Amino acid sequence: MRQIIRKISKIVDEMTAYLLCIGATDINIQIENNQQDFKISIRSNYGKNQKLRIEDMIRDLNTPRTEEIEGCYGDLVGGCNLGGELHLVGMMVDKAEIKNIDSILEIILYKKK
Amino acid sequence: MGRPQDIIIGYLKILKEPGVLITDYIFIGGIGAAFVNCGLLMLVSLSFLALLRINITGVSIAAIFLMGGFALFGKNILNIWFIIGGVFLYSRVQKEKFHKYIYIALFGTSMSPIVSEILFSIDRPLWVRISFATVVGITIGFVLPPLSTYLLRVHQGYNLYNIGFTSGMIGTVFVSVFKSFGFSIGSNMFWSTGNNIIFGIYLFLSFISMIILGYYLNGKSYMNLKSIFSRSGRLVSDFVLQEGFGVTLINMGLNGLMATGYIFVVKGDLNGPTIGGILTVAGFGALGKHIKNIFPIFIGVFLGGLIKIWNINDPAILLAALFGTSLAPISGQFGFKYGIMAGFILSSVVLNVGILHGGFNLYNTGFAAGLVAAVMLPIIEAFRKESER
Repeated sequence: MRQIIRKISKIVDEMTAYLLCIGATDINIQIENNQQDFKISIRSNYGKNQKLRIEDMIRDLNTPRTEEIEGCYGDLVGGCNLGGELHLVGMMVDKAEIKNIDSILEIILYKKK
Repeated sequence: MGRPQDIIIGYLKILKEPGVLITDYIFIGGIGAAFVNCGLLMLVSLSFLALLRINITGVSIAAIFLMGGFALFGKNILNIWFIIGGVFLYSRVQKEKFHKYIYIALFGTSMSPIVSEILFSIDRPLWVRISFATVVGITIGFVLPPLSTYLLRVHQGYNLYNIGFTSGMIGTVFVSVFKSFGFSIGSNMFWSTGNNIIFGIYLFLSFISMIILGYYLNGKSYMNLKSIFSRSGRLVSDFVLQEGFGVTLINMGLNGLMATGYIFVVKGDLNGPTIGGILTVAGFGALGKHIKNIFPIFIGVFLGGLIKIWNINDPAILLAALFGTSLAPISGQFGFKYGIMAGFILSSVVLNVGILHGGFNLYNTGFAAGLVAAVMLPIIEAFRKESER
């Protein structure tokens, strides 16, 4: 349990850094500790001319779940990497739902326990 | 490359050899036996991945090639199991699935020579040697997972051989303890020569066939190759997941050609250790390395060879150039000049760290690269102009 809590906080850390890097000024993060999984809901705006980086983010967060890579390299997520590890976040979460409506990003990440 | 009975005799010699750096299995057991060992270890790695139902990604390819490469100088079918067993035990204790740690287990066999050293070089009864080797091997495997994930933070993924860095640390501690009990540790220098033509043909044909196959699998195109070249290569740049298998195969072939070409340019020897290095460079063509980010490292080591006190084709310097490409992400992220600088510094550091772990850590350059990255990164970050960020 301690390990997964550490990973959830690292994922939140990485997401926050990335969103700030793309010019977010208003980020809301909600974490639900459910029986089966953790659900991280993020609502954020972003700066101008970030279309490519949003596309990168959507592609990276949808990287297939890869537990064996998480075991080996999961600790690279978070810290002060300025948002370069989103594909690793994608490998660590079981499902990612991303909506981009009226310049507001709604991201929901699920990680099974 | 030899009659079956010669291969068997040669293989038994390989199994009994401690394998500390630098032990060329081609020198010890002959070409046939060394390549049998190489094939066996690649099959073992592949079988593990198949048994654990792991999809083949860039990390898998890197691990399999690395196992094959080091099976030419240090790892063998006898000495790898103890460390893998230790990692397995760790996963049980943590109540986690073993497949989460499989790559740490495979990469972690870098410390296998310590097992062979205890089994075959200590003057004690057999049961004592077996017990001691088992305890040491399993202990190393057991501490690898937490240490390797922790030490990732030191170099932030800029050293592709993170387990080499971790094993160097563990090896340093173990060897220090051993020495304090009077255990003497010697080094090896078994280095075969005179096979450049046959190995050169074999390697060039292998890598060209990889490029041709990759070209066909990539829809008869070089699509996404530019995208690979644009990546820094920092961990975890899994090119198979990010760009596809076909183009990754092309990239691996190009890496292999460059690494083999380097050995010919500097008039080095193609043998177990250097072919091991070349296979590793090619294998990591699926996990971070490409010709654009490894070239500066080669240049850096080459320049070091021109002005420092050693020759550019000395064994340790050849290995420093090949395995030094573990710092490729530095040139990929910060640029050509920083890559050259990293290679230049690494070629000095790598010659001074082997004594710490007594040559037991086969990824000696990975250990040195971790130190170089840890020292260089904060300095680069501090002095890089804002416009370069």
